[in-house]
Amino acid sequence: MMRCTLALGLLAAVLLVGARDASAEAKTPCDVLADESADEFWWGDFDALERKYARVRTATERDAQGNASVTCFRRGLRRVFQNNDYNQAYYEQLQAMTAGWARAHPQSALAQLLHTRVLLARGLALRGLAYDADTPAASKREFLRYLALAEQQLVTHADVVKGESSADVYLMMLGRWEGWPLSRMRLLVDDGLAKNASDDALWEEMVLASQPKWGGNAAEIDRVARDAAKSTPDQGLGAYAMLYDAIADSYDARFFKDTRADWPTLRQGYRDRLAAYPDDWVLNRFARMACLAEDKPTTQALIAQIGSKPRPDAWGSNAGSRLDACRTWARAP
Amino acid sequence: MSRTPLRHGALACLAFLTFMAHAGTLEAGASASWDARLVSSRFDELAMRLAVPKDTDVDADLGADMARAASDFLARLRPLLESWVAAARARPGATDGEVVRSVDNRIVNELALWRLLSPGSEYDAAMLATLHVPAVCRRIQDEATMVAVLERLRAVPMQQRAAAVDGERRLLQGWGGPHPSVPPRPDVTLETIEAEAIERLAAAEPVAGDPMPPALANTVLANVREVPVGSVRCALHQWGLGVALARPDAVPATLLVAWRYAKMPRVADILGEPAMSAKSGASSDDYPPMAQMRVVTGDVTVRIPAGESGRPAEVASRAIEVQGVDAHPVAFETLLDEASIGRALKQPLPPSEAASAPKEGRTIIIRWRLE
Repeated sequence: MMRCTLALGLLAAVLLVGARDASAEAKTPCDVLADESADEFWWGDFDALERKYARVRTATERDAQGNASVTCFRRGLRRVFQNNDYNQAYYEQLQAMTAGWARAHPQSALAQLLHTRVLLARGLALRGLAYDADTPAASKREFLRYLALAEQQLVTHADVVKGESSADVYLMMLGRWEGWPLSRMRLLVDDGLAKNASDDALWEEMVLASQPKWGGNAAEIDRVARDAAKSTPDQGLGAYAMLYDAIADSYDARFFKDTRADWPTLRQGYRDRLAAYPDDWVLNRFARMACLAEDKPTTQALIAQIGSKPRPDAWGSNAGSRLDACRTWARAP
Repeated sequence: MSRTPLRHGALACLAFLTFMAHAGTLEAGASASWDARLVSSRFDELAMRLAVPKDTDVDADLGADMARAASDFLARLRPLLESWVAAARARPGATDGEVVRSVDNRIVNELALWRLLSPGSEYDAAMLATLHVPAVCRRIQDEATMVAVLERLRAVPMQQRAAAVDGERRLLQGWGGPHPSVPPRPDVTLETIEAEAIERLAAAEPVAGDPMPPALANTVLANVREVPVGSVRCALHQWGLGVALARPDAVPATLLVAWRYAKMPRVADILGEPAMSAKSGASSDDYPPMAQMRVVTGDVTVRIPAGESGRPAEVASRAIEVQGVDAHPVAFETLLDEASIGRALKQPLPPSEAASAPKEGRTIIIRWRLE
């Protein structure tokens, strides 16, 4: 219970800061967009959200860091329920608010999507992050009930949301928990990309679902990473690197042992990404991965490039000691 | 970003302290210059509160309308402040500290009355039309500012905006005036209705009205709840009014008054909490530090229901006097409530009643005097 209280108490701070500790750096356009959408959702300002979503839903241009607007917008929305502890009264109000929006704006894709996302978030919060075997049966039942409600919401309003890549992203989130086959998930990727080719969350959901813990395997992950790179030839191998990067933390030191990630390809992918979209966070991730791959020249060059201003949030758990260890190793003759 | 009430409060305190520091260096007989500086400092404070922010994103017409209203107000503010200072100075034996306190008490009370009074039914209807716009509170940190006025006005539907702007203009015109009709504090406060509704929601029971925005739900429905401040407090009362209006016995006119009393700026909102509030070992029935500091005295009548009724003790009436405030001390009148109830509950039954407590309960008058 105390955890729940603390988590809710911290929520306002999370809303202001954002997932990547954006306050530590100058805010990017993506941070600003995410902050605004979080604030508008936080205050129940549906009209402002609707205006913003109309601008971003199919916008394909990326900002200087390579972020597509629609993913930044959704990142902001997520902050309103970005904790996995559960407070029933809080979620009851949130659900009532978005249900009201969905009823009041039956032709608004955003209204239907927001309600879907809240149902999904409520289910996830009910379940928590414990392993399946450690999740109480009652929590699991409620979780599944909310997943079903979220799916029903999308199905019922399919005509309204059919043009939204966000609908595919949310369906994939549902499908991952419901154990949908990867082939079905892949159809959703293609469907979503046809609506917004810049919606990277489609590929990210696909690569998450392809991990062994969700029923996939190393070969499936590799296929997704390569397919994503092929579908974005303008970014070189950037997508390959970003998708492997997205799952790297869950493998930690076993990343190169348990996946089929190919370091030269990955290295080129990071280089392609940074050439198109210079970004300190990606630079730090690249250095971390180079260190993990034991590529000393690359690590040396990247550590030198990072200089005295590393991004600890890019170095995972025990960031300080990990960064120090890589620095020491890279300097050693 | 718009100015926050915290800044206003902090600025008010800073201005006060700076002013007092300078005042201490003045020699006897220099009171005319001292008083002039008091007027100037308070004028500047109020001008800042009433300024239309340069970075406001309200539409130009609305901004210009309210800038004009503020300008008209400021044109007559200085003589008003001078008259208040002169009146405070004219009291026999008035010290410089008493003059400052009297003027500040009056300013605080006028700011409260400004947000409490209604300029008419059309204005009321316009304000009610903003009820279902929860985001109206997002930038309202301090009710007694032009920022708050503008945020509400821009949420008013266009067809009602002229009436709302006119209402705000008249409220500013009445600032510092005689205020012949101040509505009485309703028997059932909005805070009471809100607290009941929040308990119901926490117990998973239904409550009619709009759901809370997440910003509010996160504050008042968490397991250890926080006292809403600033924009969340605004959102609480906005939500609370909606809940109250959805009740079958709702009387909109009464509830509007309850809403205004709830959101009316409090003394601490304007002047900041007194430093002695944090004194350790203070009891709930001690003379409240803010009341002491602002020289609030008088009688508070507390009703203690019979034990079996299950109802809590409550304040039945107040006869409060506040230094510098001749009438309607609305900003100060509840400062002694909690401590009065605390004292009343500690009073033993008289021996004649001890054996059989009266069925209708007891009424106790608590007298608050400063030596």
